[in-house]
Amino acid sequence: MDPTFIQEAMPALMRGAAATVAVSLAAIALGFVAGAGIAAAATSGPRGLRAFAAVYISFFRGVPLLVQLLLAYYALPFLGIDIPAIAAAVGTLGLCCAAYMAEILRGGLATVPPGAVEAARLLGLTRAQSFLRIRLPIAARAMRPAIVGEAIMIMKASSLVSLVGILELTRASQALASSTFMPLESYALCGAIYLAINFVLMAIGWERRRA
Amino acid sequence: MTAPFLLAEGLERRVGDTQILDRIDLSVERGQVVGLIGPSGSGKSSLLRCIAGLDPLTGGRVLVEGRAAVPGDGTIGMVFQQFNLWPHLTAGENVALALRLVRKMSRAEAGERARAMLDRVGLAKFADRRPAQLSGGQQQRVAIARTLAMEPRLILFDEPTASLDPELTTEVLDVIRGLAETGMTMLVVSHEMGFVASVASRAVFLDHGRVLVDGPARAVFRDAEEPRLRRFLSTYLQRVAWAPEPEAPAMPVQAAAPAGFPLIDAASPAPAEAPARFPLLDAAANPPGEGLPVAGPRAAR
Repeated sequence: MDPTFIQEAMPALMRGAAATVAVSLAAIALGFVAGAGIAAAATSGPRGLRAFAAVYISFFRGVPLLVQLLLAYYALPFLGIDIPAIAAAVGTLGLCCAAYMAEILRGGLATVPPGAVEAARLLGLTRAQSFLRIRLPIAARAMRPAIVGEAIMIMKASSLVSLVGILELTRASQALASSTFMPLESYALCGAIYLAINFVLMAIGWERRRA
Repeated sequence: MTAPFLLAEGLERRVGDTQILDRIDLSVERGQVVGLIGPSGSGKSSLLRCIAGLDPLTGGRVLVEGRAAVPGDGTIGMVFQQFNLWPHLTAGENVALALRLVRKMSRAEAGERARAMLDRVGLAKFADRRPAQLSGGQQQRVAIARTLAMEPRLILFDEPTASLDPELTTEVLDVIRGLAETGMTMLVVSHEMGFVASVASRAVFLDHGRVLVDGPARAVFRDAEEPRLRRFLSTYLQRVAWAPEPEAPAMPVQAAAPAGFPLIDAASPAPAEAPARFPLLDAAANPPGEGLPVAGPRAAR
């Protein structure tokens, strides 16, 4: 690959990569928080909330992310709900991520031995202390690989938001390919940058697994 | 007359159609060590869990020093069969966490106290190890240290050695024996009959959620007049009968002894202060271990 091409292409691609990372991290954060709420509703909420959680998880896991994105950006305005592209992008990715996170959290918390929680209770820890200091850290060990996997999926799925006009890495490389007529180099660079970003996420997973 | 240290009155626990505890009355004086024995499913563990407040009662009440005990108020400590250590924390952190969060000690203070407690059970060197890096016996001793650190006035032991091999069992029982010598009030659920016979001042035999026999440990084991208890003990003795002969000549096993014949020969009763003499039980279920001076602040280990 021509080094001059790389040199000239990198600034635009890196701006796109920054947008990819920002959109993905925002979506993952939203997914984690909303996922915790859905998991709580699914495990210990009243009947109505449990049913809502079940429908939520089924919808977001069962409908393709691209369709969800198109619904949010192109269909909602017909219902009078007009949202900016960035909100549609982060919202859709985040809400979809939440459905998976809820299942990961639910499974992780189920691995915590009840005895560990009973010991905490008898020693006088409050419910909140027991959750934050005992249940969550023990569950986190079991959930870590799945959460890293989900984060990587969201990072890759963020390429779909180029369809609603967000100038992220995929769209930046599309623009590069069509303006330079060098699709091979453009998309190869694009793939390499995705790989580098996800490699960082994978490394976090490996690092923590050894700890 | 002063109120007993622990008073359990008419304890009932029913789950669906199953009567787990059936009107159990139990009063324990301060400093007493009560051994709870009985077949699996007899309600021993449930009784402990109800006293600790972990399982809800469907009837009756539990008073400690005249007041209803609330789980976590520091009155009652419990040691579990599966240790229930927190796997993500080191032994030292397991002991120190509640001191910091509940007793509001500083990190340094809690750490120091945790080390002292681990030292007391002979594990000072292992403070930085995670539970997974410790043997079962060591894990159980950490769990005991964690309980002791909170200075409970009553400790419940729920089959503390049931998942340990005989050697590890001995090291845990030595710690409990040392605690008994300090005058700690304890309820011990155990299938280690020799241990119960030698350490408990009182033995309670449960079956189907009811107390069938309650009396001084020696008398309960020596006389065993109650037919169900007699059957239970003979099964136990049959199981340990083929254990290797201990150094002292063992008493002949009298598993199929006719009613009225003592199961455990105590023809020459021991003097009041001497340890109970149940050679077969002692030797088979509780080989002499290196006694850990639980009371001493610097156990050599």
